[in-house]
Amino acid sequence: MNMMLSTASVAVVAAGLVVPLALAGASIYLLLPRGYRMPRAWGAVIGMAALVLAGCLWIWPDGTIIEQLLFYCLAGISLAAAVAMITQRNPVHAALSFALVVLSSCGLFLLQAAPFLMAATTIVYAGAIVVTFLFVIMLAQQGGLSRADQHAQEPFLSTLAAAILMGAILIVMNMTLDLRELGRLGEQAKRAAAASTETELETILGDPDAFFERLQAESKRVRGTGAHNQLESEAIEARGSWEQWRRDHRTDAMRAALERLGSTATYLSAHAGLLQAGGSDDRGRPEGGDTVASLGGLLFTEYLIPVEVAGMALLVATIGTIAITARREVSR
Amino acid sequence: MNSTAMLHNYLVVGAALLTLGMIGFLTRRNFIIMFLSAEMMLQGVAVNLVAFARARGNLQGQAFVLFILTIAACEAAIALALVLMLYRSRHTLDIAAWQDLREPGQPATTDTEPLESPALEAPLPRLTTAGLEPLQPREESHV
Repeated sequence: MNMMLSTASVAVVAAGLVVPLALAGASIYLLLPRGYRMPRAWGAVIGMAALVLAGCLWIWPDGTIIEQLLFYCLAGISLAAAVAMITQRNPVHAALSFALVVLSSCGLFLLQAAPFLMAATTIVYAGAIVVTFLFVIMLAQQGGLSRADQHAQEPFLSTLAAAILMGAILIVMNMTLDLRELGRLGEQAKRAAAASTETELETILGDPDAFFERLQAESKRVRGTGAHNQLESEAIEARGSWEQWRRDHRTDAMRAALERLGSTATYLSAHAGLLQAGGSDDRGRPEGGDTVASLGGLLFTEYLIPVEVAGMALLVATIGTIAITARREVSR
Repeated sequence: MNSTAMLHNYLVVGAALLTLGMIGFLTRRNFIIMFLSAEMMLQGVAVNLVAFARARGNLQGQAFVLFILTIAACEAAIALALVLMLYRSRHTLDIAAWQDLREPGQPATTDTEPLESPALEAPLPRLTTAGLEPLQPREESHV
């Protein structure tokens, strides 16, 4: 029974991974330029379906309503504009779609408490780099579409390779970051430890054997920090004290064990997968605030040498650009 | 509040931008669109870094995104300078013009799909000659 359940769940998970990838790959394959003028309706419809499916299956709902709404809108616009950029025939349209990608991902930066990065990226990317690309297109390709724009090289193989890469990234991320079950179990343990009467404690825990089994399975699955050993030992200890409580009904030790277990589980569910435990305040903003002053302070104290090196790289790039494009006149 | 869910969502977006940029870089033949795809890969990495900065609670990821931005600007400048030099040599932005740089034994890329044929220009209509030019008052300028 256990084996059958696991293969069924594995099949469901695999379908949730493969179907949007297949749809997205098919839509990009249909939308890539092929020479003759193709109707783009099929590719666009399949692409929209892939985007909606990916939004339902790959994105975990979290946060307030307005935060989720903004995330879905900005991420959807970003990915749709990215597909538009790589499949447009006209290079000017592609550059403008890239500007839209940059603007929407700057919106995502703003959602992640990075206002200075939003402004800097908009100015540098959408303001300077896209305009420079448009200048080059204007200088080099004034006749509109060229032969190069109307063909795509190896569309099937590249789409397949990209789909495999995306699938691998998603699998690894799911294995590392899927900690919702652990968070729920931790909350349940904390509520049980805070229960006032013994019967309430029992009802909160439900089936205690299954509860502790699931907790131990989750603790084996958690990766990324050394704290999963601590979680596993605390789960064993809590189970031991539960057995002892059934014998002698001393609630204090068991409550303490459950409390410890619950706090470790909820801590790990928020921090596992990260190499170093972060310090952020309740609303998830970085410590030191999200102001430009804190970022500037960091740049001038801890990252002073990289800033100077970046400045030198800019100088070298400027000199190199002028040196490359200078017409050499042979003097006789 | 489960912060790894938010982290996961933003990492998915960053991975998607990276893979889409990879597809664009591999398939397109125009220099400009290839470089735009490379810049989009960098943008995906930037989204990842900002998400990690938010999840970890410090600003190291954001500082790194600033350095990525700087290096991307340098790269764009030098890349476009090189593109202009290549254009001066072959007068096209097509990378298939530089196919002789491929490995020996690799077949050349040829266009097998037909291009869209230019619309035939309708012949200009032949009008009968007009009559006499009407008398117009002579314009005297008082500039």
